Amino acid sequence: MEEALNIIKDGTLTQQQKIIALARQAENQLKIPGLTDKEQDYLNSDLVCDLAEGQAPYRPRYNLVDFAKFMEEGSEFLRLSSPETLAEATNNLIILYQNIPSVTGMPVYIGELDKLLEPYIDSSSDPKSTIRLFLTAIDRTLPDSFVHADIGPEKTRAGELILEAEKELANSVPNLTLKYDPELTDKDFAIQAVETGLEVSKPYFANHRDYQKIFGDEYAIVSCYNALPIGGGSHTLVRMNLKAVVEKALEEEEFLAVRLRDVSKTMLSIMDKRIAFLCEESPFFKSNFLVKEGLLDKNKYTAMFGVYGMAEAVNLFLDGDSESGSYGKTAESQKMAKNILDIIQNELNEHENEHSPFNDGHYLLHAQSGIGEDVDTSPGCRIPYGEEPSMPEQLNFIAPIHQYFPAGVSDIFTFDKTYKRNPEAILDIIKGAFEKGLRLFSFYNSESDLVRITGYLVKRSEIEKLNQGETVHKDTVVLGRDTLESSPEENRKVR
Amino acid sequence: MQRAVINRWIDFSPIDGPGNRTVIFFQGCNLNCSYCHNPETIEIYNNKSKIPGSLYLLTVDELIEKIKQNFPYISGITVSGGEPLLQLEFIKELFSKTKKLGLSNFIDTNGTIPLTEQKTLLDLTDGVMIDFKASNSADLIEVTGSDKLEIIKENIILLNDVGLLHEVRTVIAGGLINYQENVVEIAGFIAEIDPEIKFKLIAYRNHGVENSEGIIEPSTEDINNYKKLARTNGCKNIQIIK
Repeated sequence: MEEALNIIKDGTLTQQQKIIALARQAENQLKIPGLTDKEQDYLNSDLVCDLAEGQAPYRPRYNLVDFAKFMEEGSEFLRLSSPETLAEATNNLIILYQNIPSVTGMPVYIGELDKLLEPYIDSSSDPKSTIRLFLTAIDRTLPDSFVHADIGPEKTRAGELILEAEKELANSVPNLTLKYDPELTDKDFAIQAVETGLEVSKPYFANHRDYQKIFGDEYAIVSCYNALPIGGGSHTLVRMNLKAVVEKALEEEEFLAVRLRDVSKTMLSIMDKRIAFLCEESPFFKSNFLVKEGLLDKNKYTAMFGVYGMAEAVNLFLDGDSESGSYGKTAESQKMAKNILDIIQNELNEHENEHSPFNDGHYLLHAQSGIGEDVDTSPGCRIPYGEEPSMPEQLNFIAPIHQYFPAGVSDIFTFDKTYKRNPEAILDIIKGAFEKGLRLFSFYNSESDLVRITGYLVKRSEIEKLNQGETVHKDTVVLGRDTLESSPEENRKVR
Repeated sequence: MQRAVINRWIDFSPIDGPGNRTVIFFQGCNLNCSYCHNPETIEIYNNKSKIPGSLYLLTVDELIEKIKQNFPYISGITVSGGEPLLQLEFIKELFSKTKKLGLSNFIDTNGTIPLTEQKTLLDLTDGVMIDFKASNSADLIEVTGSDKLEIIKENIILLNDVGLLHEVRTVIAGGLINYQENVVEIAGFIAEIDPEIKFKLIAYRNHGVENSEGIIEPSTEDINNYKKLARTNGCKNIQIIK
């Protein structure tokens, strides 16, 4: 109850942020039914973490509405018919967005915007203005940096206007990804995306060809940088602290593989129980209008098995010191990372969940990007900030590791302002990186107000406001501030 | 096996030609410019058995071995320095191998090595960035220590003829020569060949180290004025590097 009172008395929260916090508070008075003592212990320890997703999940963590279907058929529940003008299209989408649940309370995916809007561009008298209004409405009505839109791979008029508007508006919302394929994406469109990125730290570049092999055409990059099926989503995301697993193995003097399998199996069971509650106890898949109208399809759902702290785990195992610095610099450390991931992947291959039909019931590996409370553990499999080797060495090291993660992985590169005069240089790097297997390339200019935290954007100026005790609009500012305190962004090597 | 004396290289550079490039700084220069920002590359080591430990003595294959990890990520390589064309035979062999690997080859040169007889090299080259440091002999000697004005001009004309002239560069430094006159003449020379040739005006930067010869950074106003002058004298494609 004290927790609820603290939320109510917190002057830095907006009304909406308070309501969401209070709802979480209420949910967390319950407990996931059926957890064993061992499972509870692992959750209480730092081996396994449920990311405070909630003790009684009543909606899937991430839901990727089939917006193309919505544009074609409208929605009975929302009394919206298929739009005929650009203004109707953007209006319908804004309305729908307010009704899409997720772990944050706001949609983590708002569509392949260029494809959705392109049919209406020619008949609009001022498409740029309408798109600017649309993007502004998104930023102001969905104040959370995990709200994510996709564009590409082909160049479209809508895509160009979206990039232009994003560059001018410089909002932290939405997060944005360009699905990039050098053979499908016109070079000038890709260069425009790079130039936009150097101004406003988005879009990401996603390796379209690679993701297509996993998902087919119907995939989207959502939330931080998760890759999931359109029309479906992920029930849950739970994560394993690889550093803690190695610490435990060393403490118990057992083979690392043994402990990895044990923690994996335990975590899989925890995930199963969360999903069982969601699908069998909560009525989401029976009563939510999105499901009833076919905008979400349970057959396209999966779940994400997250890992993080790989750098520290490998350093600790190879050198006896989690900060030894080997990770990222030696072939041996790369091999070790792959071995760890092979063991975990094997556990995923042997496990099936009846409520997660996508990928034949097997959960997908995800490189989880950390939370503000993480201390001394690096996001996902990233090389610790400040220890990065030369850029080609870094790319050669991490690209093969990206190949283990179908459900989301990314690496962030900081460039100085000289690259603004030569955006083609960054495009060259991205093309090479994708050839080598990198799945998602995130970059920004070291002098930008918009900084990429671990997978979402926050304005430095907003963090400043929060530190002065002012209320800030976006709920992700506090996450960003906390993360930067434990892992300063200025440590990232500037190229 | 020929070996070159190399000062260092940069894996990824966005400022030494188009796209992302690996830049190799060759040791040794036949000039001695008072504002050189790479003065450690000036000294020529003719006796290759006696080079300092900080430098590299490499065959083409050894150099390629050291930079090949960059290849997936670059458009090509740029040879710079120092004056790379003092080690011309090496450059030719290097370019022939990188070309076969699908990379583009760029040269960053002070323009004092005549290129008229260098067809083989030029056939392997995709672009040249050439310095035009002053437009008259007296000023050239003042800035660089020698007068190769006619060769520089011939090279610029030749490179433009064969479609390899990527850009002409002039460093602007305060306390040195009369840049007003020089910019007017250089711009006029370029514009007469082709007004679209990229003319790069580079503002001298001391990087926090006081220049021993009294050279100072030009003001933003000065640089902008020189750009206007260049435009008035016919150049249409001027870039300022501050």
